[in-house]
Amino acid sequence: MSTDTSDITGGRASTTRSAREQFYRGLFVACGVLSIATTLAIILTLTGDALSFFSDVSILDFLFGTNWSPQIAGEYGVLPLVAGTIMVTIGAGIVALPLGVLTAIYVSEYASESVRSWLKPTLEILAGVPTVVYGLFALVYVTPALSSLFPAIETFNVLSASLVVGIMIIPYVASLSEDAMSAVPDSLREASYGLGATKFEVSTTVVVPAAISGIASSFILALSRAIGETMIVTIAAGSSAQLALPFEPGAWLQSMETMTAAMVNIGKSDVDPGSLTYLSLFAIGLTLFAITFAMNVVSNVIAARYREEYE
Amino acid sequence: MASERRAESHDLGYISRFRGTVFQTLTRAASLVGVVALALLLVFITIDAVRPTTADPAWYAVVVSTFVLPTLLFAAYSRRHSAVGAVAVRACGATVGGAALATVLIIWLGDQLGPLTLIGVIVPTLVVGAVLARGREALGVGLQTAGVAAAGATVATVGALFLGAQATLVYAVALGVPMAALGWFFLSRPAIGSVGAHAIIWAAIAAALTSVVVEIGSAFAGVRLGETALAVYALGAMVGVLGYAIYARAYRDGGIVGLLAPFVPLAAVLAGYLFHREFVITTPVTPLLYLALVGVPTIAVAARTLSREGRGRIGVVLPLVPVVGAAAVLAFHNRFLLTGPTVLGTFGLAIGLSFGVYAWRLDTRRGADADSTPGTSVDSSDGGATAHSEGRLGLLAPLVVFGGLLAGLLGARAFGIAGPQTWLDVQFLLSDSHYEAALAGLHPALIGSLYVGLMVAILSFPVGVGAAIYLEEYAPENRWTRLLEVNIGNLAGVPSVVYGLLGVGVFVRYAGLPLGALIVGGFTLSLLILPIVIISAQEAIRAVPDSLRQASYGMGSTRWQTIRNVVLPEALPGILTGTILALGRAVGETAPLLMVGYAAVSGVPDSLTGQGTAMPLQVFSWARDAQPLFRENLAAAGALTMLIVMLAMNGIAILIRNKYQTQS
Repeated sequence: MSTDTSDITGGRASTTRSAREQFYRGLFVACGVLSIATTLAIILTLTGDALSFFSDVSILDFLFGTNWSPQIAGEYGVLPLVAGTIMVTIGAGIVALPLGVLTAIYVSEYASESVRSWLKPTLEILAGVPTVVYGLFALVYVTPALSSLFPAIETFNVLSASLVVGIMIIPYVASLSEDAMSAVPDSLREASYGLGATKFEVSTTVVVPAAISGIASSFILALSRAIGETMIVTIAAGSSAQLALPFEPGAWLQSMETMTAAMVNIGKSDVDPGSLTYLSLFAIGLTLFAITFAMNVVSNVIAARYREEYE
Repeated sequence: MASERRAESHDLGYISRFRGTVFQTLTRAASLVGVVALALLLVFITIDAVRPTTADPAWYAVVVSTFVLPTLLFAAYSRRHSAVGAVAVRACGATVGGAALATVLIIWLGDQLGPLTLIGVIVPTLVVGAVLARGREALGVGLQTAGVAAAGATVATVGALFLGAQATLVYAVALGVPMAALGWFFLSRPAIGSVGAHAIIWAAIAAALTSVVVEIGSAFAGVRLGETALAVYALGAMVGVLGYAIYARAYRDGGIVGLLAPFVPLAAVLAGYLFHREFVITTPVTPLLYLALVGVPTIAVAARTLSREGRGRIGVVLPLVPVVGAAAVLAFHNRFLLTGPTVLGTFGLAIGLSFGVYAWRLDTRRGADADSTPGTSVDSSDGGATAHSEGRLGLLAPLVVFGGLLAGLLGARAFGIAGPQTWLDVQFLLSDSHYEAALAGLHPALIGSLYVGLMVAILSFPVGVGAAIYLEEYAPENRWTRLLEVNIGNLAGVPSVVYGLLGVGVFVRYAGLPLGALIVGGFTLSLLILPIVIISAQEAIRAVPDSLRQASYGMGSTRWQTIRNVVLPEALPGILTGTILALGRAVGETAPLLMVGYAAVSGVPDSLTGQGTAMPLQVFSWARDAQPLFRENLAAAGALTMLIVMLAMNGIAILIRNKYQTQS
């Protein structure tokens, strides 16, 4: 590009100009490369310390151990933490996925322009509320309210944390699904109306199926948010690592530690930065990064591969 | 709708609308769940933070009669006179903006330098900036000069942090002087200059790549290379020059001498390294560093501007104003304290300034309208004039609204009527952490968040916009570009707590900054929101119509000129909106800051490497406290403060978006 100009016009002005063009181009390339460098740095940081962790604790003990007690028993089984994360994610999904999709249908198909103009910014605010505020909300307001329904509930419990995580991720489901539904061309809707379909039939049998890849990828992204969510679960779900399964009703009312909460609890305690406990932070971090990274990739693939192409 | 009804009445048969109605109600109810949850959250937190039930009923009566009723009446009036309403909303906005500025300044300066800094530094800069803004050239010159000074200051600060003040100074001088001379020489010999500039860029990129590979390799192998590494980097640079020479066939253009140019910076760096190793500068280094990196380039740019023809040369004084102001404040600040009169003065000054500027602009715009329309038609200009005089009534709105509120509050206090015993009060905003709930406050955390937010804005905005420009304007459609985009999308989905580990690994362990340092949090959060900034800036840049770019190219502009003069100004509102929203997220982040060692209980951060703190950490620590007063009331007050900050940032972002959407 720039060498072309200097060839054509020649002379002093064009050379300085070309040098300047090159300079700015280089500057912008460097900015873009920084994002690759960030990814590499994340991977290197996590794997480096995780590897030194796995040289002391076998990777099988870490992945399949059923007891997480780094400070007291020195046991590093990640399964209880994974179970906590899964419970919270399931609970959040039960709240957010149906509500998010229905919200998206309402905004995209039913809402009038004026409703849309305040509903969408309000949902944006819901996504912007600091998570520590959500955590406070779960602990101080939601849990006491739940205790009138379930007297057996503990102060720190999975139920209230997962409900609030669910509320937090509603906007992610709603806005991405709505984007997908709005992208469905009006000609499809009109053709369907022309065949005598009602608005309900158009919404459920035309728009939703046509937007299904976007909806699915929004689900995965929102669930990956729930997995990575830290402060709500740290504040409201407590810090006792327990192996429990989602279909045990009692498990929802008790405290469980998620992977992210365990990271915060180790990170803010005064453990020696070189100790095994501290290194386990990076092993959990790597696990978490791998899971969310895989989910993001799957979401991208779904969005790209199963997208209905319209002109 | 009409066609559906007709279908029912005709002989197509009965169509059940029951399912449809139920479904519609269901979707509407579902979308209200989120809204209701948000409302509940706000209401509960506000109740615990402000405690409205502790107020005397008479207090509400007073406030309703002096504030709520007049405001409603004024609102009802301006509903019927839209010109008044428009002016009223903006006038109130200007007043609130001024009050917010004053609040931030008072909290910031609190117990440190006093509002004198406002008077000494910011006001003169704004005033001079506003005066310069009347002539666009002067403002451009001023911003350019100030930009050079700011860039120099940033490089000096970051360099001093990572390399140490002396090394930064030595390298700056060793590199700066010969490079400036080389640049001068290049300008006089374009053929050599072109080859030389390219060769230097290639050498720099090659050296940087070599250094990355070497650093990663040695870190993994656990070896410290020391001085050998420098030789390897130099070798990498030479390979880069060789690569350029082969790629560009530089010898054909008669500029082959330019291939020697990379040896100038190489020799300079080597000389700097040896000097730094052998000698210790005994004179105070830091002032010299800033003199070399801020003073010299700024003076050079100013001198160059002054030596050329053209208007607006007066703009070069802009960077001088805050320096002189700061010097004056440092000389006098001991004599000023944060007292009632200075607080009131700050509020009065800030509100008066912002309101005054709005009213003044309203007036001048009117004048301009009146000047431009008289010849067209008598009716329309008459109508315009009445609309103007009507709209001007809206300037009274702040007096009615805020004056009424103030009068009510002061009146209630004068008559001894108790207001709510709120936790979110001046004491809360200006006090340090304390083990007694009634004395505890958010002050250090607020200042910490302010600093972190500023750092994140300074660091992530240019880099994010730069990456977006590359992706949208330069990058070819190929596999690498796609990889870059996918990578950025994935980075946006990485859990924030993982970024905390990244911060520990890179900035604390590798770069050697202290755990919990203010700047570590700034760097970490900048990396965290960078993908969000990039993605939103990309969207804004993509929305600029291609016809504008084509027109610019058609006039002979280069790519960079097109970006600077056409694309960026057009995309700026969108970029700003996205950046402000991302900043709001950064200010609310807790987990990464916890991981990098920020503390909830700490003093006001005193330097870039001092102990960092931020609002969410303080709220987190209160939320975990065993005492109900901390867990419920103090945490709620802190949470409400954060929510107000966040809503204000969202509001600003939405205002910017709406303003420019309606314009275009």
